[in-house]
Amino acid sequence: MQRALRSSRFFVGRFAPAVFVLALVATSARADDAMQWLARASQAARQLDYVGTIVYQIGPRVESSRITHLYLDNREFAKLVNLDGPAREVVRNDGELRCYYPDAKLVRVEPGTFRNVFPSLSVEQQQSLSRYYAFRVVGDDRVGGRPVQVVVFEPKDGLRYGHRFWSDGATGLLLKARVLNERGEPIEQFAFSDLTINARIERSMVEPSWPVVPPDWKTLESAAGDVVQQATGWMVARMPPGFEKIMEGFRKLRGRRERVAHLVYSDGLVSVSVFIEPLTSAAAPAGFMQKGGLNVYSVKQDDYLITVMGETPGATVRQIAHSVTRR
Amino acid sequence: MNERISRLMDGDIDAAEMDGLLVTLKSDAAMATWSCYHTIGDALRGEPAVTRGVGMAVARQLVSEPTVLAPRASPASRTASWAWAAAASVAAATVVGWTAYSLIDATPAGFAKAGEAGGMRAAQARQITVPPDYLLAHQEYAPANALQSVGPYLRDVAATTPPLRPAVAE
Amino acid sequence: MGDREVDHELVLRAQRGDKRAFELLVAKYQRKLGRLLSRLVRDPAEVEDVTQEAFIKAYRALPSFRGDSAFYTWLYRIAINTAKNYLVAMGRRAPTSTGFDHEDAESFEDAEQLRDSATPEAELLGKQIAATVNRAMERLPDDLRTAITLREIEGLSYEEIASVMNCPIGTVRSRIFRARESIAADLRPLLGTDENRRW
Repeated sequence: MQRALRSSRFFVGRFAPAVFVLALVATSARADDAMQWLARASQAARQLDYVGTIVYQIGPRVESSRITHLYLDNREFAKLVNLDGPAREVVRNDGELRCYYPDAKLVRVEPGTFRNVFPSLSVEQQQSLSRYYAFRVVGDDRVGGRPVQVVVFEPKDGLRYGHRFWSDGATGLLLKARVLNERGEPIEQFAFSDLTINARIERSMVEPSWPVVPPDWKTLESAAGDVVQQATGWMVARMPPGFEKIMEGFRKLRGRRERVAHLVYSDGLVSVSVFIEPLTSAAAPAGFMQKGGLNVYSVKQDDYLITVMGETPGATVRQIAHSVTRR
Repeated sequence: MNERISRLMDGDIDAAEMDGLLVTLKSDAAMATWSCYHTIGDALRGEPAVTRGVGMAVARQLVSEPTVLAPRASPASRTASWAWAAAASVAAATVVGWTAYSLIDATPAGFAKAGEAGGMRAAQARQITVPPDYLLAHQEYAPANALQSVGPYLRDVAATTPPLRPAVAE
Repeated sequence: MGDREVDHELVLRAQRGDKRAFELLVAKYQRKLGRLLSRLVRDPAEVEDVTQEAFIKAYRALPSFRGDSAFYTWLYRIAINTAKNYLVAMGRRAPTSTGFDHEDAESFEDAEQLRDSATPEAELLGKQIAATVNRAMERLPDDLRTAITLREIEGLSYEEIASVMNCPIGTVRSRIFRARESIAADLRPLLGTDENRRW
C-alpha cells in the first residue's frame, strides 16, 4: 500500500517529454510545499519537548487542558489533563494510550499510535491531498511574541472541511488550528494559550496520576497488538472521490461479542472510518452526531449496524454509510 | 418569571426584551433560580461544584467596588489583536484572548441536503452516542490529528465522557 | 440570540454600570471557574478566595473587554493569571513569564495530578447535587429529558432541537423550562440550606 515517493520520480525521468515533465514538476512542487509543511509540523509535534495549556472550542463550549509532551529515545510520551469539565487524564506511553476517568472510576487502555502520518503517507494520499485541497501560505503572524506561519487547506469540493493552521516559525509546531465548514465558518478550534517549547520535561511529568489502578475501578482494554489487515467482505460502493482505502481488518472491541469490521479511508489530510458490526439488539440505534469537525452517522442494514465517522461534513459520512455493501 | 429566566439562559429572547427582563431579575429569588438552573446544566455536563458558591461574596464585595464604566463596545473586530499577559503582575491583568468567531455547529437539517428518501427521516432525527472504542480506533488514522500530538483526544470528552452514573453501559 | 450574545449583552450592561448584570455572569460561571482553579491552587480552603478574587479582577478589567472573544475565554485567562500571581505571592513558585520562551517547564506541575482540591463539605455537596440531578432526570418524562439533554449536553439551539424532535419551538421552550423546574424542585432544598450558598 505504501510506496516510496522515489519510484514516481524515477518514472518521470525516464519517459516524459519536456512539457509533461515540467507540468509534473510544478504539481509536485505544490504538493511538496503542502507535504513539507505537514511533515515538519508532524515531526515537531512528535519530537519536541513542550508543556502548555490548550484551549479547545466547539461552538460556545470551551475546554482547557494541560498538555505535557516528551520525546525520549525515539519514543513519544504525553499527558493531557483537563483543567475544567469532567475530570479526565489521557496518558500516552509510546504505543499505548490510557484514558483515566476518576469520577466514573474507569480507565480505558488502547493502542494509541498514529498509524497514518506524514511523511510516510502513501502516494495516493499525497496525490489526493494536492488534487482535492488548495494549499496556500496565507501569511505571517505573531502568536505569543513568536513569528508564526499561517497556511490553509481549502477544499476543492463540498465533501470536505477547510483547515487553517498556525505554525511556529522556528520549530514548525502547530500552535493553533481551525476547522472551517462549508460556509467558511470555524466550527472547531484548537490553540495553545500558553506554551514552553524545549522545556525540561521529566519522565515523571508524563506519568499517570494512578500508576496502580485502584481496585474499585473498572479497566477496559481493547485487544492487544496491531489490527490484522485482512479482507472483511465489505466495501464502500460509492466512495466520494479522493478517499483512498488505507486499512481494512477486523477488531475485537470491548463489550462486543463479535468482531467488528473496520475500514479506513483517507484523502491525505483527514480520515473516515467505517465500522460494521452484527446487530444484537432489536432496537436500531441509527442516527447521527456531530462534535465540531467530527461527524458520525449510523444506519442499519439487514442484521448489521454500519457506523461511519470522519472529519468531514455530515453529508459525506452519510453518503458513505448508505453505500456500504458486501463484496 | 422562571420561564423567562429559562429562556434568557438559552438566548431565546430579542435584544429589545433584554432590559425589561433584567429589571425583573433584580430579586434574590430570581438570582437563586438563575443560579439553580445553571447548576443543573453544570451537573449534567459532569461539572458539579467543588466549592461553596462565591456569588454572594462577590456581590457583597462589588457593593464597595467603584462602578466600572466603559464606553460602548465597538463591533467585534475580525482581525486578531491580542496582548499576552504581563509576567507576574498583580494589577488588573492584561487580557489575553484571540479572535473567536461565532462557532456554529451545522444544524441537523444540514444532513437533509443530500436528498435521501423520506424514509430516512426518522433515523436522521435521532442523536446517537459514539462508542468510545470506535472513536479511539478512528483517531489513529487521520493525518491531521498527529499534528496535535494527544490533542485530538480532547474531542473525547465532548463525545464520550462516561455519564454521571458509575455503571457504564458497554 | 445565542449563548454568547447573552453573555455579551450582560457584559455591555455591566460596562455601563449595572453590577447586577455582572453578578448574573458570576452565578453562571462560578462553578466552572472554581473547578478550574481547584486544579491549580492546591489548598481547598483557598480556592474560594482565589475564585472570588478572579471575578473581582474581571470586573475591574471590564473596560478592556472589547467583545472580540467569548466572555468565558477572557474570564478564564484572568483566572489563570490570578492563580499564578497567588502562587507567586505565596512564595510557592518562582515567577516565570507566560509566553513561548525556552526555559524550564512552567509552574503548574501540580495540575499533572488530577485531583480537585475540595473541602470535604464541598465535595459532599457536589456529589449530592450530582445524585439529585441524576435521580430527577430519571423521573422526567422522555420528551422533557430529551429536550434538556439536547440543550445542556449537546448544546443545540432551540431551532435545532425543534428540528431534531420534530416539534414547534414553543414546545421546545416549554419542555426545557418544565424539565428545569422539575429538577429544581428537588435541588432547591439542597442549595438553600446555607445563606452563603443561596447562589
